[in-house]
Amino acid sequence: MTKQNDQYFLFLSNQDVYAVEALEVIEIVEYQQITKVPMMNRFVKGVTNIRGNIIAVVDLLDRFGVKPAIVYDKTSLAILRKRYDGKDLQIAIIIDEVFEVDNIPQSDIEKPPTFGTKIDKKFIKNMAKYNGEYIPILDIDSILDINEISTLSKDKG
Amino acid sequence: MTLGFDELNIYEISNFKQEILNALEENESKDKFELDFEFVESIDLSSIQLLLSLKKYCDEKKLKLQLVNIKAKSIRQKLKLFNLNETLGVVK
Amino acid sequence: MTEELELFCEDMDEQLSIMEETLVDMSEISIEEVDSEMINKLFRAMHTMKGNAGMFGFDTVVSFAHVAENLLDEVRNEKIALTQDMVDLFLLVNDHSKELIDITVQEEQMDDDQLEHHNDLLSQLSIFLGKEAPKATSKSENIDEPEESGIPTYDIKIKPKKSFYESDMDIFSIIKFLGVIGDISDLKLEDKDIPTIDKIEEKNAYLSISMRYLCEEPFEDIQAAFDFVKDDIELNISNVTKQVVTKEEEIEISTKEEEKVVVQTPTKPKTTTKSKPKPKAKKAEKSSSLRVDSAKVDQLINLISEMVIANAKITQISNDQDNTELGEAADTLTSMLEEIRTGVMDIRMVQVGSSFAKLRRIVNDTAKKLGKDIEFIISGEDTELDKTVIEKISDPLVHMLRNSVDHGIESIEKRLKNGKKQKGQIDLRAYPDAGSIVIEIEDDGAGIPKDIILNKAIQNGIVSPNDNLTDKEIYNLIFAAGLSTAEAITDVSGRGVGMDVVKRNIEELKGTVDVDSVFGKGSKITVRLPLTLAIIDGFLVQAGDTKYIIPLDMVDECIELTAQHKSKMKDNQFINLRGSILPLLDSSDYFETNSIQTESDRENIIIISSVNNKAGLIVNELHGEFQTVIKPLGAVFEKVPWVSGGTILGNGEVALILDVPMLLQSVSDATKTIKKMER
Repeated sequence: MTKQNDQYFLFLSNQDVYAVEALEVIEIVEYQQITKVPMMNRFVKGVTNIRGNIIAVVDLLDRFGVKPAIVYDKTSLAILRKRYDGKDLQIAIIIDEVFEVDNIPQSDIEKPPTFGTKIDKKFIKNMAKYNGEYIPILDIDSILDINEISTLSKDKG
Repeated sequence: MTLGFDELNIYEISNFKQEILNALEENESKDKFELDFEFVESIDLSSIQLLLSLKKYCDEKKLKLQLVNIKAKSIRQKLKLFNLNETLGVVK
Repeated sequence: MTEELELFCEDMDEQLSIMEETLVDMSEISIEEVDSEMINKLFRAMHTMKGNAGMFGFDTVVSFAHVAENLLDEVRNEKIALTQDMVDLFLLVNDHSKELIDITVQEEQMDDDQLEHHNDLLSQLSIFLGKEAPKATSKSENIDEPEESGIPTYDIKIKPKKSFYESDMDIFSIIKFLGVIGDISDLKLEDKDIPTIDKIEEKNAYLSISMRYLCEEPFEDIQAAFDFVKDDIELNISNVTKQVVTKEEEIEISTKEEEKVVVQTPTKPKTTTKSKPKPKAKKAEKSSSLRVDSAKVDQLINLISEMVIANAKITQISNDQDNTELGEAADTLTSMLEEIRTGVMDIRMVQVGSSFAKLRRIVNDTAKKLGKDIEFIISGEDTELDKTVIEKISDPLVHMLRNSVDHGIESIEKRLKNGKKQKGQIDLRAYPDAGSIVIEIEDDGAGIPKDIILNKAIQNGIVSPNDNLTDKEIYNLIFAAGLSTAEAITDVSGRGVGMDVVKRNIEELKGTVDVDSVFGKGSKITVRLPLTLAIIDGFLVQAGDTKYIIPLDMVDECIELTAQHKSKMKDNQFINLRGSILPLLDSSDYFETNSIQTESDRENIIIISSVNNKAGLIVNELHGEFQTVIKPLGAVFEKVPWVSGGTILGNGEVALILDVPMLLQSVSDATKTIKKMER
């Protein structure tokens, strides 16, 4: 798949559509066994094995503060590219369903509203007008901010 | 003549010889023949042999052979190693 | 930088290290004890440097090295006597050579100061050379030997066969190599058979190469240099030495026969790293070695790691099937893999001694500068560590040693005043211990001023006044960031400067560092480094839904947690293990796995130990021994305290690797808290 600048990956989570810049998506795999790592915040579900590499898995919905994801047959893992400390990390997020890969022209992309978004503004980069609806384009850097997600959980058990 | 090769080695040797022969034919000067090494980055023993062969030819034809613009350090070192700077008319 | 230049720099570094090491050795003993082997070592190093630099046309380096080499030659031929001043001069020459090479490789020029120093050294060397007063007791009395006598001299003639060029062999690198192990003079290309360019068959070889060659290495080594081309050339090496040579070397006159294959080994004298040089003359051992790009070794290690994983899967499948043949084959494969793995890991293992040697120079120099009298003793130099770890541990060690010299060992007056002997002692030790390598730096100096450190730490908010710290904990505050500020320096007498960086560097190597001290008597810093990096032997357990691997060398035994145990335990978190108290860790507490305490689940105790701590970890299932590849969990899990990595099991599942020392540390902390509360 040739990746261009206005190509986006769209997916469903909790029946809402979200978008991520296609350049940031490495691959999509089926939901598979996740090993829980202790002491992490609940939205860091653990680690999983992708072709011999150990990759962290983040529950997107939980990270948004909505609720923990419910795993069903179409649940998948989207493996994203995150730049940190001069290296390219791979981190997976849990999504409910793959929706679409499509081009969204610059003209259809607007600034996010100051209020009224379902999820925290800091996780949204822009809004895209797609098929008559507004879809949040997610800010992966913020969602996968290493300092935030690596913080140990305050509560035990 | 400015040599267009970046590497002078056994794989190019026949082309190298042909280029020199062509250049000799077209050489306007009556008393000297110049090869410009500006773009050449490396040289092997077969090419050095060819240069010596060229030198012999030039001697016969009373042409002064000059090698100019040798930029690559490895070439300079190899020529220096065998003390060929004078023989081949290397111009610093 | 081109690959060639990089190799050149590596070569130079090596030669300079050898020289420096030898010179430091020499400076520590009396001149009479210096043996001919040491001087030969210096000479050969200088000679190799000169030869290498010559191949690259680095004329300034060559001419500088030439003068130094000359002097060394005169000394080893006992024409000029070695003095301590000369040794000191050579140390300066060594330093300057480093600089000079750096500058030359960067294609820069010396600045005025450097140039002045350069010429100064040259004139000092010349002064020594000018004094050609022979030694009082000269062994070689009457013979006025001609220059080349004693050094075997050859006339080498290389005539490529017609097809030589087409074989695309690089004759230059052979000549270069010869130049390194010996002296080439009179290198000539014989062109009389070359036709003119209009008649030449350009792919045929018409020329031949001749040279005069001086070389002390055995004849076979000279021959061996031509191994790769011997089928394509006519080679003639004839001995034209003026005098009969010593019995140590055999000379063969080669004929045009086919020579048998000899592995091309650049011979180098084996670098012996000792803290005290042997007094007798010793013939240098020649070891054959290969220079290998470490990236290639890393690649091999990765490959083998993947093989271990693949093999685990095969083993698992063969266990599931009931096929003895398959099982046996799988076992054979496992043990062979183990052998390869050990072998390859071994390649990267280097003796710490090579890195320690240069530390002596630093200790001696610093001690001299500060006017302190210090004896520096190194032991355990043949302890082996992975090459990368050694490289990275070097700076922290330098730092800690400087600290010891500067702030640990007191001035001579102070020591005498306190009834200590004038000579302070610093010990640097390396030894293996329970799956780690331990490096200790111990001094008999002033120790760490406990109260000053504590006060400073409280001031900086690192600890609060109410924290009841043990003495050891206070001493270890020197590693706290914030204590090492410039302000802190004067108060804490300089101890602790940059120690937080030292600690971080060591932790990056997955090691630990610890300090202990007795005020007035001395201090000891203990560094622990893990032995192997990638593959470990572990014991697989399961607690709740998660599987954990515990490094095998930290597993003592496994026992079942029976109802009887439980009843005896009552509410306490320990059991009676054959008469001693074994604290228990409930993995559900530590790892927050929730499904561990059900009635029906089996509970087992796996007893883990590290250094002096021991505890029993309560888990559910015991799965047995596993050999696995350690994979990092990544930045996301950096802060998790008791997990040091992950691994992929045969079934694809990820298991977590337990950091036992950390875990046990927290146990002992916890028991301390309990004890305090009980008071």
